[in-house]
Amino acid sequence: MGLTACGNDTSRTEGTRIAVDVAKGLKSRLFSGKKSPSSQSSADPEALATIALNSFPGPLIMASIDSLGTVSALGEFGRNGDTQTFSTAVQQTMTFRNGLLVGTRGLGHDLMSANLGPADSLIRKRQAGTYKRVYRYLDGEAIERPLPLSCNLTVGEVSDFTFAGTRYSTVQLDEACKVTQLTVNNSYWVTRDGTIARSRQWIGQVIGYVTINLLRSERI
Amino acid sequence: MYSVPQKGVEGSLSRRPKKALAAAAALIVIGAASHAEPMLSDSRGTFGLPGLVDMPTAESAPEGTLGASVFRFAGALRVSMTFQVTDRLSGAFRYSRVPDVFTGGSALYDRSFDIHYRLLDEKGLRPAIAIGLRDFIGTGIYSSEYIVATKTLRPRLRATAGLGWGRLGSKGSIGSPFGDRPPLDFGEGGKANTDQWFRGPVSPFVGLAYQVNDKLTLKAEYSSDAYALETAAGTFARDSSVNLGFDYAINKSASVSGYYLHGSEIGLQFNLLIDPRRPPVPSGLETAPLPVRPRPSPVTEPEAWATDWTSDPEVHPGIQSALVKALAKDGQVLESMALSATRVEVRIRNQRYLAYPQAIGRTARTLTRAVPPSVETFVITSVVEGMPSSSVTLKRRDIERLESEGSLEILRQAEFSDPVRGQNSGLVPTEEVYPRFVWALSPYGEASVFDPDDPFRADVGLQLTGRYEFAPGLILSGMMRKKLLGNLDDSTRVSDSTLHHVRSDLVEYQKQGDPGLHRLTLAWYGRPAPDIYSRVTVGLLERMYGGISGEVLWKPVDSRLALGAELNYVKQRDFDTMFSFRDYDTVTGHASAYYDFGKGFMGQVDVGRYLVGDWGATFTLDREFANGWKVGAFATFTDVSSAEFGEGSFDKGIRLTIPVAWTTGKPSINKVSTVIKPLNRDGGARLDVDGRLYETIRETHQGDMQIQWGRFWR
Repeated sequence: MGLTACGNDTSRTEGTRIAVDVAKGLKSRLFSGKKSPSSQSSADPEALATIALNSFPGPLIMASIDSLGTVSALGEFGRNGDTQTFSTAVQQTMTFRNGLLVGTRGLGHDLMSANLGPADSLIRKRQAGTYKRVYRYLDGEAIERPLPLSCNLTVGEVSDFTFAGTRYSTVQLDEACKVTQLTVNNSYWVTRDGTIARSRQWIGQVIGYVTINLLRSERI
Repeated sequence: MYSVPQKGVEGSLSRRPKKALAAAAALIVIGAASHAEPMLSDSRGTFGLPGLVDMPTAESAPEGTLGASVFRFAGALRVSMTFQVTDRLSGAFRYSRVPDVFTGGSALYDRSFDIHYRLLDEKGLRPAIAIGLRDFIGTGIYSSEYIVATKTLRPRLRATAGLGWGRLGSKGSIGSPFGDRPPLDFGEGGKANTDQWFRGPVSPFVGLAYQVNDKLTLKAEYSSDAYALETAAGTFARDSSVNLGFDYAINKSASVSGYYLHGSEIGLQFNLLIDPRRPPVPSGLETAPLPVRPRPSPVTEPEAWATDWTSDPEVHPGIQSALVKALAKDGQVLESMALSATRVEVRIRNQRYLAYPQAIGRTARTLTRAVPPSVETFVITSVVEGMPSSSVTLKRRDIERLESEGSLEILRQAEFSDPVRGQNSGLVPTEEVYPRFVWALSPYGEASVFDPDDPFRADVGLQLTGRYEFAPGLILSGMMRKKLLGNLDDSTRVSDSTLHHVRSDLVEYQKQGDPGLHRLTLAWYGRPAPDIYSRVTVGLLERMYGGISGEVLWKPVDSRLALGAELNYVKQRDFDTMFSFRDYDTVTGHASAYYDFGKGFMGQVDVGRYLVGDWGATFTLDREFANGWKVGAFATFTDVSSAEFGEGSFDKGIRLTIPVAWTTGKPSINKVSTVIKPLNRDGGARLDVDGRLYETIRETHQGDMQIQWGRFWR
């Protein structure tokens, strides 16, 4: 079919563009033995970290999301009080409050916001505790829905590791949160001064967990 | 008036805590509950609604689910569209073909409507109980009524037993408890056959449904439908009252069903189920918003808070041009801006986000990066068709404070108002926004689906659209079509209407109007007074009419009620769909009331004079979802008698709107809308003018914005 739309009125051309995209997707699925080139970058995280550190002067983190098969470096994009927003090169963002994930944008099925309760202060002090926290999402109708969880924070083992040339001496803290049949298991590797050097945190039911490594905490 | 949810009631937006949780956690399976639970099923019968084979059950589909099914057996065809209107009420519209039963042994093509209501939920030993009417306003070929009970015997096994009247009482009758069933007053069809309901012989029917696994369901029933008409016409033999079937789910939304029917025939069915609350793709595949940039502390950096910049003539234009660029990246057009030491107002045209709160939330964050620290009040005004239609006023410190909080927190701080009531001084229009020209050349398709001679005909071709905006609200636009291939012009049907053919000559337009100039209009939108909107449109208003159309609408920003009036003088266009007219002109117009009932229900009543000079009213009810889906039905009753109207007796139909973003996950303000009307007759026909005011402005008002407010921080 040679039929495609042209013009600068997107309200009229969008439908055709979608139809063409769908047709192309079907065609490649039907007629090509190859998988579509997805973003399954099997890049070495350490190598990626070095590139990122050399190209961006500000605070940096590295995030890998298993379910999406992505490993990305995110640079600091904004700071507002105790929250810090990091962005990928294509402007997908993650927002943290004192190192704990409180939002994502641009991933789809995003975590809209989160209330931490005392979690962030306990984790930075490497202390155990029980508390409630709330995650918020948009449902299929795009209405915001809170997901309240009851959490139990425990202090785990001492763990020393090196990432991207920096050696960290940490204690692992495990946070187990529950509601009905859902269990969330977050882990944080926290240094003596309260820095979260590495963490594995839950984004949501669909995307699952993200592993975050700290590359640089302050602007050089 | 809309009330903003108060503090401490975060969960109250959810209908039920359990449902909210299920929604938030997307796919968590909630365990079987001990209390009364709605009895749901995805397994459909041959009539499209949840059921066994031909027999109904007391089940419902999940609330809001849309279904479509195509059933074939022995030359018969049933195409059904279903909608679960509320938790308990289901509706169906059906187009069917029954071979050999019409006058002269030809096939009967028929449209029919069903309703089904679940009266009682299953609780303890009590089964779920439902009542239903099949084909209750059609020509009556499937007319029947039933009361049915369904009980869960084991988690995967459900038993159903019921009593049927009409067709469902035609085999194995046990008497006529409510008297004889009067013969059907066929007439022109389209009337509710109320005097027949639950009259005449009643027969019991029973059945079982066994869910083998998540994919496969097996069904068996003992049918009380004699299929008297069909067997008399000799299309098949009804050798048995036992029907068997299976239902196999291909994926979340599609399933196939196969049947062994009447001991003699094989039947096949394909089903689609769409839940507007379950988009096929993740929502939110877009670039992230710019983060808020907080202001420096007034204590440590007092000089940053100075206001001497107000006297610098370079500042306002500098900020405005920076904002134009930043907002353009978010699909927002900055139409004008007013800036003082403490207040900024931006007037924006949203071209990207279906939900206006998202456009406003992003604009607010962009403003924190663009205007000097002393500016504390942000007024973000939405402009549609050149009309400023609502202002949201926010305090900058709330935007800074609440960026990572739930969206209700900022909603409580937001003030909605009519910009016409606000300060209108100091607004500086952005240069080069007007005049504005957009155009597109794109494919189109047009189909005709309910013609008995050939139930599906279609054309495809190219359409050229253009839109030139001289100034805010003054818009020249047009649409032209050229057919490339198709068979709509094969139709030999000639309208048999005894009224003037104000709509029923559609086939003539399809045959002769190629290429056709479907629309060429000059429209002027305005805001003559607070809460009042106006529109005047002149030109070739639609495919069949040209003339002048004027409209006024009263709609306060925070009101559930809107009132409007429209008056048109139109002349009928020639079939060639160019610049000449036929010898028919008329004055048509309506007074309209629109009301937001809440819980997603929106009603509309239009009272006035229709195209053929008939007087009457149109009633419309829409079920709307926060993500932009709309499913609605309408009916028009005028002083044209059902004999004059012809087949169908009165004008009625179903309308459906699907936002494009729902299907792609990417931001888009576009929607696809369609109206399904079983018949296009001349009574109760309305002018189809573009850009009616209510639909144009309502999404910027408080009611719609509050429902979609969850996207403010997205």
